[in-house]
Amino acid sequence: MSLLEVSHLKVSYPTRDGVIDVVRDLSFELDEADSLGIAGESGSGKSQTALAIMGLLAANARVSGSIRLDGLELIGESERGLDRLRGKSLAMVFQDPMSALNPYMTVGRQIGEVLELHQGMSADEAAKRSCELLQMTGIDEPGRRSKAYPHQFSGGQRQRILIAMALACGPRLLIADEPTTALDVTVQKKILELLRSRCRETGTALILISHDLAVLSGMCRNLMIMYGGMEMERGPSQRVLLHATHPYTAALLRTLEDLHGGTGPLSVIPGEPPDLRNPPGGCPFNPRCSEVLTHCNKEIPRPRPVRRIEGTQSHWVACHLEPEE
Amino acid sequence: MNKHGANDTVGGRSLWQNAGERLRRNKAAMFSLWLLLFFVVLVVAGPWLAQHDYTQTNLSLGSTAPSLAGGHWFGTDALGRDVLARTLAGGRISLLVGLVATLVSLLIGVFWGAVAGYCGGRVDALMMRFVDTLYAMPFMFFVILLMVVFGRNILLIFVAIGAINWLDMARIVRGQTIGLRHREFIQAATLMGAGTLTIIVRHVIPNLLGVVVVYVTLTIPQVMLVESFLSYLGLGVQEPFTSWGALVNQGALEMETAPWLLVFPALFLAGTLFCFNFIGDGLRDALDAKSDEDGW
Amino acid sequence: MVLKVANLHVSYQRSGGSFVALEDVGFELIRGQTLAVVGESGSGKSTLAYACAGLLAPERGSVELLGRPLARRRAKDLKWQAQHLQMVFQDPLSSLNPRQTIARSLAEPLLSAARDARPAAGEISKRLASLIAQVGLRPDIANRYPHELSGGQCQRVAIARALANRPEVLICDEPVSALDISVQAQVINLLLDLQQKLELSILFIAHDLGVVRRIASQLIVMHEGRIVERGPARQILSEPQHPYTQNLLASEARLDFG
Repeated sequence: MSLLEVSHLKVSYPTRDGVIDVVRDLSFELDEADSLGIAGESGSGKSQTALAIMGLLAANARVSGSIRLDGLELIGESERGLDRLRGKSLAMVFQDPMSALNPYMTVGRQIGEVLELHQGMSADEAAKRSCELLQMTGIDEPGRRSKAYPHQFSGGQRQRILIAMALACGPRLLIADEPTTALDVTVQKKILELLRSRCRETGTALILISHDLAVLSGMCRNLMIMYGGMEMERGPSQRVLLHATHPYTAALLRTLEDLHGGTGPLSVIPGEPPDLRNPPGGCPFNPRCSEVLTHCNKEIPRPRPVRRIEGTQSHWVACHLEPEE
Repeated sequence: MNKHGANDTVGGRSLWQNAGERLRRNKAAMFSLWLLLFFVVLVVAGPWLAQHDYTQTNLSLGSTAPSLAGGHWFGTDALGRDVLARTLAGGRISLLVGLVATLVSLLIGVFWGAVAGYCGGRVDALMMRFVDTLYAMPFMFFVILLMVVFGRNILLIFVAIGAINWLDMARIVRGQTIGLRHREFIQAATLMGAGTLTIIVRHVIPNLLGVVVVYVTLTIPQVMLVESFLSYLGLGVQEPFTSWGALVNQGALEMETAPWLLVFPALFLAGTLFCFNFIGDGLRDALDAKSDEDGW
Repeated sequence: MVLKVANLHVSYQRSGGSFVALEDVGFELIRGQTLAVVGESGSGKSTLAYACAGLLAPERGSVELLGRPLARRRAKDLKWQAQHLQMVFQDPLSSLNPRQTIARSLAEPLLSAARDARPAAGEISKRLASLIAQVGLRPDIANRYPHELSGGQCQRVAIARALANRPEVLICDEPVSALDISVQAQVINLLLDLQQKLELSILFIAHDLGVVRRIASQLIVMHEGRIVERGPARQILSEPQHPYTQNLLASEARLDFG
């Protein structure tokens, strides 16, 4: 049994313009201590998926389907139940560390709070452990620094603090939603390395969300490409990158490679990411697809295994070009 | 849906339209809006509706209780004047004071605040010190001074109240302008060679109208209460004119013997104040910028 | 040479003393060329963009546009400047007045121009139509409001607006950073295309080396308010000399095919 099993997840919001489906029938699994990168642009539904797993969706969200962590069903679980899990078994790191940290509390106390709450430590034990955790995430002079406030740290350091907080109780699963997007590129690399090594030490499974395929490729063993609320392609990272089957994945890779070399105009994907109030019929990518077939805008392609390549190990693609079994 | 998936709705929907829609869904605000409209129509059409003239005295009918049969639906006051007619006439003055004084304070305050906030530096400092000085002046002293110099004139009431209220508006608008000043579209306008006045009128003010509109709906009741306070002190409207405030104050004196003198004007006054407050609240929610950013 | 910057020095007052944003910065932008300025946060690159546009007054140093020093006071000078230098900002939605339709936003530069440069009343709608077409947008976008458009569409409008009076110099302050990757490529292509057609000189500010690779012929690398390396873009990107540039290149996330 996998650590995380997401099955036919649907998230939608009722608005004055009608119901908006932000996640449409998503299914995937993640094993213990494994890593999954979720890539996608605006409207892909990647952040909403993360929030759904954490139980942090807005109050008016409508969720259906199933999310199981260690066999426990998360959808429909009470707030009390979820509170017990969050911080202990489930943790999340967001893009903007400043909004995730309480500006009026010292950093040491904030980490300590997690420990006191979920591991029943006393204030003193928690303070000591906080220092250790800060040290492990690369904050120098942790004893002194743990008495400082969030605004006294740089962006990169705040993210380290968040990672320390998230991994304090050795959770089963950590979700990081664009954790380095707001950081400088030199800092980004260090934070990502920290994330990977700490997760390995605590045996935590990692879901890393980013719009940047390059970032994900070096970090995650598995990769899922999302678009318009649905999965386009999913599988082991190397396989997906070397043998990109979905036209969207292939186009994204071409754009990325173009940015790293060559002259003249870049290869583009025409059009814009879909407006979820008025999504295209059938496959959400069909209006922009260079290899579109006549029935692509009528039938939504369900994920199917990729057959064309030898030794398929759970490489899935949702595209009519790939024949269904 | 066009070839590349872009959205194809016809025509543009401005932010005001979006806000208007949100307001329409706020039941309390819409009810208040209709009720207010009803009051306004009543008050404006008063003289044609009421059977009696509001100045006509009839000593033989002094202080009679309300009765539908007797023709005086709200009763009469000590001088036999019809309370219904007087309430409606008073409403005209109260609402007029509220609207006109607020309009005056709006015009002065918005310009003052926008110019001070946008120009910054010495101009801002000078303009706001002037505001601070006026703030320090005791309101009553100012009103009495005006009365002494110009005599008791209904127009003075508008001026006096307007002259005080614009200070608050100026401060609020200045704060909002300072926040707007560094937005990129203002920088872009500067780069395009637009003059300072053009930028203030075309770019700054339209983008702070949301806050101003909310503040206005909350100022009007404030102004109406100030007017009734003045009436209480004997500095408000002179006979034969009357206002809700004046009626309430007179009615309060005879509360035990002739409660209808107090109840009806008070109901109208309180009702109007409630309406403005609910509308103001509704506008504030409707104009909340966050609701425009994404559908969820 | 269209833009000449010399000994530029800008500092801000902050709690705890003054903060130097730019120190002794100087360079030249040649007609038809794209000069990219790359740096991380705190490098001063945005301050440089604003100073070159005349939106910020430097403490020391000078900025010359087409031989004339930038002035910030006289309306006449500002209007002249508006004809020859324009800017595209980072946040596409924020760079358009939310209360105005796209048509009105696009007409602004035309209406603000000095009297002799202003087009006749009947001409304006024709100019608007050609501007909209020039950036690859559909004509029905004219009646929409910015919040109804996507980021990419807003940025195209911003570019169209900047080019309305056919300036010689275009300053782009991280114009694609806020856009999706698939849209970034479109906007970069648009800029490349327009540069060729209109012989634009572009000062392109970025934090992303990838974006800069395609578009820049010359490159300046900034760090903490100073220029640490400058020269032909291709050369610097393949053989960086300064350790900071080397670090920047090494930190760039690359596709790892295992």
